[in-house]
Amino acid sequence: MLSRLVGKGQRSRPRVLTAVVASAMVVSLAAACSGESSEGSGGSSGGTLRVGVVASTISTLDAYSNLRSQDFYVRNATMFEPLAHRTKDGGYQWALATGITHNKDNTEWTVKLRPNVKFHDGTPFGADDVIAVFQRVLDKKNALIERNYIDFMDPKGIEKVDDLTVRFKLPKPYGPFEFAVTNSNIIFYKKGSKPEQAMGTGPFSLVSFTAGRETLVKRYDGYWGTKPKLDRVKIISFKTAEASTNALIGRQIDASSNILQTSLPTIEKTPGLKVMKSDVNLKVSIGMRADTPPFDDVRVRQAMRLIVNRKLALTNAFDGLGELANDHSGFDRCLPAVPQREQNLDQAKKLLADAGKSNLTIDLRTAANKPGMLQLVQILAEEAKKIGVTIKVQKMELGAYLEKWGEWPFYTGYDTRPYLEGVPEMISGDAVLNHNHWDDAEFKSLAKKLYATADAQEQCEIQKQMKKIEHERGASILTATNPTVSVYSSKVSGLVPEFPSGNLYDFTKVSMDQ
Amino acid sequence: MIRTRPREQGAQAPPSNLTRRVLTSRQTRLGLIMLLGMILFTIVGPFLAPHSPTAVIAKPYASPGDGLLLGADSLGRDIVSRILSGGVNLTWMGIAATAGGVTLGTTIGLVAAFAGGIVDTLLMRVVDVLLTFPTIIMAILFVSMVGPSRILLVILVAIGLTPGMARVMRGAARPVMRREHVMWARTIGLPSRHILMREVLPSVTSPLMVEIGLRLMWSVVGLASLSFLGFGVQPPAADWGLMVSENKDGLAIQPLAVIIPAACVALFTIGGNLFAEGAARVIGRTEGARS
Repeated sequence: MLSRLVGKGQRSRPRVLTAVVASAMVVSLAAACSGESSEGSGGSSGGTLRVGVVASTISTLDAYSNLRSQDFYVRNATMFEPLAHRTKDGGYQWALATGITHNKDNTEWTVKLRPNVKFHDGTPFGADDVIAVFQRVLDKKNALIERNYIDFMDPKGIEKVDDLTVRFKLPKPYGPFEFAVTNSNIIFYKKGSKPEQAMGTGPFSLVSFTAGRETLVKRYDGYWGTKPKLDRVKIISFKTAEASTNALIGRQIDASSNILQTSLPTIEKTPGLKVMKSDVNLKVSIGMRADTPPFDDVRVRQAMRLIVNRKLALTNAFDGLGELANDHSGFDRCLPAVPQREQNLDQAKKLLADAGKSNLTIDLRTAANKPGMLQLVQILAEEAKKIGVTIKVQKMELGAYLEKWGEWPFYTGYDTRPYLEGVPEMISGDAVLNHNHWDDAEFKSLAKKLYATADAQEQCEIQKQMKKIEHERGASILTATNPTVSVYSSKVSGLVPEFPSGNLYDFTKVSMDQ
Repeated sequence: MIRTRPREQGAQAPPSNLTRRVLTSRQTRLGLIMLLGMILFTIVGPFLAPHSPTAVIAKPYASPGDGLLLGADSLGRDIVSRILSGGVNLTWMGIAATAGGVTLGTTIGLVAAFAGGIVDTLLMRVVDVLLTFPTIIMAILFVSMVGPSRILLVILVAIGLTPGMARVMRGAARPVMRREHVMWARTIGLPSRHILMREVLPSVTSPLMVEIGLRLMWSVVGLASLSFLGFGVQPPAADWGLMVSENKDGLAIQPLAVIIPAACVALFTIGGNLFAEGAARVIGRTEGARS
């Protein structure tokens, strides 16, 4: 469920950060016109921002690549845009769309597109591009993760009304349509363009890309919204958070949101570096594959959840940043009325004995690709030892780890998505999405109800019930909810803790002292 | 007469004599004492640890005090206990890898020198290919594919030591092949294995001893490096190389957590190097005189 594995997970960025980006854009509806002045001109402060990400060595420029690590999300956020950015309060900041309307029974939705938006090659953006993207996402052959967010649509029911209007005729009513189509990963490129052109409408356009090394983008002067102040952004890939942290301390990069939290005390003492904590938006999870022994027995899963000492995890693995989590996904809205789970070794031991799994020995695999992950699994292993359970931590290289994603019986992941976005994966039959293979009939039927209603209040009530089920018999151990901690050079200004910017996905307001 | 004479020269002379000769050097004695001291420390250490080396008992990077002599590491574990427990894997894995690499390398070197011709060429070209492949990179490659396991690491480091060892032993054994006692053994048709074990091997003990010392140091450094890089001993186990890696981010606040394990690895290898180098000098001096 919630745990997104390392690479794949990062998509959640949209949610918060987008809000910031969006606001920047909205402010400046005006700009739709300006010509193609050369980069660097225009009186803004300019400069090149070097951003460190932790990324796999294999990646492609395709906006819908299935190889996703942090570089993919940061790169896409600079060059492509969604229909709208979701805001913190549940609203929308319109980006490529200007409004969405629907009929009375929620079966026909009409999207109005923003006029005078141009791709990086100067050609206009319109309904054909939107339809092409939705058709690609919905095509099962492409096996894209985004299909899960919009699989309520019928590809044949999407029609062009005019150049700036698209109508979606749905086979059955669907309530949270706006939420679904504004997923920050549903982004738009020019119909018929090649993936390596990265032909988007975003505030930056592609200069060069080297897989696993770096992406260089420059300010797009024909951008419809507020133009960025920076001339260029260089997104540099590192293999580990240690490496990006060291690069930052060594001034080889200007900013990174993937740093070692344990090095924060050192960083805080380093002159010339600033620390920024975003709103909480990250849950590191330990997944248990629910369709194979020993975790096919709910008692074993609950025992594991009772073994971990959450308070210790929060202070010693996550440096006291954030708050305790309670074995259900989603963040601080629509919380179920269940008590905070605490460590209880006696009960865990009893549950394991009842399940015939006393003295269990099991491998726990991690790529340690999020701060605190490696520390968390060590804490779990240490506590487990006290009741005769042997957890062998296997730290793996990220690429090798992701290759078998969805197959590991006991593994780490992370989740950063809002609940409505996470649920489709949790009920999916696809092992890559539903990586812990949890299959709960009651949860699934509640999920169906959740997506049939457009009423926010009702959605919230259903979410509470679903989270309670996760807490009672789910297949992930969720110990803490964390902020994303970014560190950046004091030369950089304009970053704010709110989501898009807080996670270093939005650079439109950033400037650099030269 | 003819039967015994070659033996005296080849087989018996080195061992007891050699040890005594080697230990006359002060440097060698110092090296040996350091090496044995560190090995003893790693073996006895775990029994003296005041806490479990994996128990989380304090705040991350806690300063010395509150019963923790040197403070706590990145996860809040006792540094003293981790240092005391952190060398035993390195020691057994280092010794096992050295034993494996030396045995394999010596066998290849002696066979190549003994057989000569096409077998020699073939074996040495294979060794050349292996030599071009850095041990650490090879180990990282296999560990990435198969997953970390201590036995695998021992095997990989042993394989990494083999080519260098094979070259040295072949070089040492070639002149021996022309000695009377070996030619005599070949002439009367003794089995090859017998000749290699009884006639050739005893004649190359001196270089073998120096090499064992050197290879042991290389495997210790290699294994510690692999742990540091995250491909060796896996957390939460205590291991010096891993400790340096785990705690390096706290260098500014808790430098002891890095410096002490690094110093332990250094003492271990310096001791071994002093010994190997001293032995090589003594042997070079005395054997040069003998022949």
